Amino acid sequence: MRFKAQIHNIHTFTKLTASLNSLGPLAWLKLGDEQVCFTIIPEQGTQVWAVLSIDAIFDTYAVQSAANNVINLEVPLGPLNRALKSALNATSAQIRLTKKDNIPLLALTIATTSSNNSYSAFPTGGSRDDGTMFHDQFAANRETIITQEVPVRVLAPDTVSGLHEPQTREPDVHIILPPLMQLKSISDRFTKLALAGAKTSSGAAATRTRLDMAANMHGCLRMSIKTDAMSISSVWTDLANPELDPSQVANGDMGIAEHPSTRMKLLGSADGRSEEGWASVRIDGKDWGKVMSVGRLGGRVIACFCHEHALILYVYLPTDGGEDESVLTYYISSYSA
Amino acid sequence: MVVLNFTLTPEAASKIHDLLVCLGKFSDTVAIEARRERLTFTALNSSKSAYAALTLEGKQFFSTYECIPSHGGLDGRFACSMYTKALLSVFKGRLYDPLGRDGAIDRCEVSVQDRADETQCRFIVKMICNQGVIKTYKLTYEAVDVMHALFDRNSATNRWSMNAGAMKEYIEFFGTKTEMLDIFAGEDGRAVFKSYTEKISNGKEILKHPLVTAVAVNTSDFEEFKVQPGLHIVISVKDFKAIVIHADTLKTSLKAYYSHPTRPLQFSYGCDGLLCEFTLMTSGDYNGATAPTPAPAPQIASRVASRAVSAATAEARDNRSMPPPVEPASRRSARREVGSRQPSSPPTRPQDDPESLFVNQGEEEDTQWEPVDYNNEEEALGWDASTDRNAGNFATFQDSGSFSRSDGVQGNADSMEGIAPTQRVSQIKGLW
Amino acid sequence: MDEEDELPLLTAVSSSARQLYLLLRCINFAEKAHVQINEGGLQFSVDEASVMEGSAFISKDLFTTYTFRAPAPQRPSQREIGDSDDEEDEDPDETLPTFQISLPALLETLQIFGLTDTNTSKPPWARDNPASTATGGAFTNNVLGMNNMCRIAYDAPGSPLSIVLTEATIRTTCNLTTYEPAFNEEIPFDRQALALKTIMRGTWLYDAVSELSSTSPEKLTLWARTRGRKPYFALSSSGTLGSARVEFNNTPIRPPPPSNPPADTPPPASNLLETFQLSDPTSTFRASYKFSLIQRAARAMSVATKVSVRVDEQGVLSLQFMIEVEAGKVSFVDFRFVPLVEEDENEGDETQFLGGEGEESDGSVMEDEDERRA
Repeated sequence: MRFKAQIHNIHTFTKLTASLNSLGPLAWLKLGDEQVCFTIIPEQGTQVWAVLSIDAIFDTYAVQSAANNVINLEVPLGPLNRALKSALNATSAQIRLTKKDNIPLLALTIATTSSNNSYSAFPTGGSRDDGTMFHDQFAANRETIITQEVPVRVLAPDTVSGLHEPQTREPDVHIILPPLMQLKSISDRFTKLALAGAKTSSGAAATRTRLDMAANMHGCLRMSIKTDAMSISSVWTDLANPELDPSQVANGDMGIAEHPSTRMKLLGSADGRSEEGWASVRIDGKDWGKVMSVGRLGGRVIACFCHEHALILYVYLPTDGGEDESVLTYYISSYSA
Repeated sequence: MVVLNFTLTPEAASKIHDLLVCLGKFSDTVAIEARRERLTFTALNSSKSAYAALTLEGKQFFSTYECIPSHGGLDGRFACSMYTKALLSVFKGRLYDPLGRDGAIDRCEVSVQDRADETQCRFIVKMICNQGVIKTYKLTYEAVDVMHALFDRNSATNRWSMNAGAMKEYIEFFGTKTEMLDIFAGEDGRAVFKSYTEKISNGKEILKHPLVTAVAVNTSDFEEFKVQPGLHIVISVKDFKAIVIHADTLKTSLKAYYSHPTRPLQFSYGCDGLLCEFTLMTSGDYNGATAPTPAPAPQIASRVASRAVSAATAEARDNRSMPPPVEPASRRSARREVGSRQPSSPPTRPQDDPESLFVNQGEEEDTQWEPVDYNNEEEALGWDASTDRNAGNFATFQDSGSFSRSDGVQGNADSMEGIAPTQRVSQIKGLW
Repeated sequence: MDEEDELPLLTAVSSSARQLYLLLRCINFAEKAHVQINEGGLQFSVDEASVMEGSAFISKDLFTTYTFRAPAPQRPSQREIGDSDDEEDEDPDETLPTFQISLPALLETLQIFGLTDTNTSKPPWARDNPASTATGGAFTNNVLGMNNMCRIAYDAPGSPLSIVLTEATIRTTCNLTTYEPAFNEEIPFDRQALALKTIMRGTWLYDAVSELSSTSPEKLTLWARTRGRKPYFALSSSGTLGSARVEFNNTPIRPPPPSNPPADTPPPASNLLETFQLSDPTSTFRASYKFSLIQRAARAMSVATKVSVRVDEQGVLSLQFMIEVEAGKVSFVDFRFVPLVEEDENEGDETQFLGGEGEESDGSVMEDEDERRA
């Protein structure tokens, strides 16, 4: 079992792990020949299935294993994120799977030029004397080398064989979300309002942070919440409902004609004032706040609403124009009324 | 009756703040020992494995300084102990405002009101601000006997010195929860600072294990580096961080002096009439690597309580009897000490560690994306006790698998809806 | 039913929500606030256990349009800004709409769009411009960012209070449940019989109260007296770790600081205490209040241009804050506090400040007092 790669997009990798860490402390990392997959399946709350093209993060990537050159690891995201952060200003960063005292590790080797390396140009007398015999060997190597060791667990192939990405029915409404910072700001306020309401009344707080999210096929997104003290809703208009690609839909053009979203197009209005044509879900405000953490990656987000069933977010990592898009898929199920 | 009066410039008062912050990381209480020529803040941590003495020169550090101990002649001294927190509430941050805005202090006058009647003993700090505002604090104190750690620099043949700012960059790489720091003099022209925690070898616990971070620095990056090659020495990473961060506020170089593991190590730095010395217990080598490690002298524990009076004269004379300021060194005691000190230091949340190197623009922006902690109301100015959301709810895949496999919901997976969008691990058939 | 009944009792539109937010935030210490709508504006008031009350008046001048249709004939309100003490003419006018709403909910709503500002991830006290907590500094980017349309409407008794905020392509509608008013006795304050009155900058008071809070005190004591002809005003408190006192002397101690103060700071007043009146200049005034209650006015202190500190003969403390919500527009926020019953004179640490003992180092300030007592 061998894994070794050069990290070429440290910022993306760091933000990715930070976003995932919001949802759960541990990820299943699947290192394959062509893709790298991160999966978070918390006991409660939103699941994330992220599929990254290798060159979205890595360079000179090499993975070998007895199981079709696939390695499955269980990775603690907090330490991994912390380790990656120390590489943000690195001149180079390498990650590899290794073992120490029988514990498997992801080891990051990071080379940085710290401000102190300027001393090396003018070494003070004493230190050079001591180092003379090794001087030749390291004359060219003036960088500070940081190694970070993240303990991991290696998962056997049959351990992960039972994990499947959720399947959902065709969505009723799909829409491109507004900037996530807007969405997060408002949903955080709503959640705070709900919690403030819960403090004064007797209801259990858990049931009171339910946000109502809805969208229609006319570019409107609505978020609302109701407490004893108030009801509040925010409506975005002029958002885009992307066209479905016949090649991606079962039965092509026929499939599109019968697609739930086609029917939804006939209902509702673009000013968001009509009560018709909304596909809505009830989600937990706190969980949504964790999902919104992905906004730091700055990708385009398409939300698919399956009325009263689920909300699926597709977060597309910004690429340099490459064909292989990397996608994070968030599965959020709707609470019943 | 003792006479102790001194005056501080805003800059000096601000330095008092900085040093109190540092001492607060070692102990809840700080002792002040005033002599005719100088004043020393000392702190000893609860496990007595770390001792700090920060000395302010009367003539150099203060605007005016007057100390007439009530007895003891030229060697006399006045000593008292106070809560670090109480002093910090007086010597707040930002005392020194170069712009001289409203509320900035003009000078700080300190005096001691020491009466036979104990209830009237007060440490009086008067902040004279611009425009006629005067803030006066009267703090209670306790008379104490100050203890001193002895350290013999002559026997400390290993020494190095490095710019504190550079050192601060290195400590930022350390994981947040690590306990130990191994300083290793490699034989390849590098010195390695390795932060780690004693192994937790229990299966599932592995993933909770804090990061192990090794920073390999070219010895040529040191201002001075004279250490026996191959020597490991282990101290508390928290102590080290506290020291480096404080040294960095003074923009000075940090000097280390040590002999070998289980013997004390001293860090020293200072400038402008402020001399800081930290004497730390050390322990043996990381991973049991071999090194010339003489057994610790068993008698040292009793020497801890040696009084200052003896310390003043004994210092640097008798090499052989220089004890570390600690109970006999062992890793166990070091760890216990680290744990016990935690409540006194303000908890730092991993994602917004105020001392973090990573507070660059990207990071500022990044915090906005963190989920809101709704328990942390903006009005609440107290310490945030909720430190780490990683601490709780640390279920591994395996944990949940054993949780409730036969939940009776497998049937749903076959329905037309497919697997529920947020399937629970425990709902997946035949997973583990 | 004539058609007037179908029109809302109140419609008020503002191009921004920030003034409302700024003023109401000052009294955000209770779950519910009383709202009274009148010709001149909206009066918000909150109280706690009848020992403290706070009120903010949102003048109609702060709105671009303000249409109030009085439900029945009534006298025109006499109320004007700058005259906000005139509660006398508030003879219980049953016809003025009065109700309660959730104040925290209203405040959260008002800043819905403020959060898109990048600075708001930090707590308010840590936002940029920490240097000037003075008037100018109160307007952080957060507040300035609330550049949206805010419409407030109240249709009829029993209706919700509705707030509609629009910004670009986002529209937020909030309906606040209105509750029956609960009539609390307001704390009587006799402005005809004042024991003390002084006016100072809000930030001076803010700074003093924050300073004293470090002793974790239970109570705050005000001291005032005239020495020679110079006014002296001090706040003191004591806790387990010691005691602290902040004093204001109208004797400039040193010339202005060498570097120029920031441009947004008002020109330094020649006197810390602009007005200073004692009913009995020959004695020392002293009164104590519950510290935690005074602290609730901290937000108002931090944003106020000026604060008028008044205590009546009964010891009731009135803090009246003048807040400049935007250039040239001044609003007032009022607080009243019931005093703590003073115990015996010699009650420990605090009295030391004015006692005969241990004042060597304070000689210059305290000498009169010491002489008088001697």
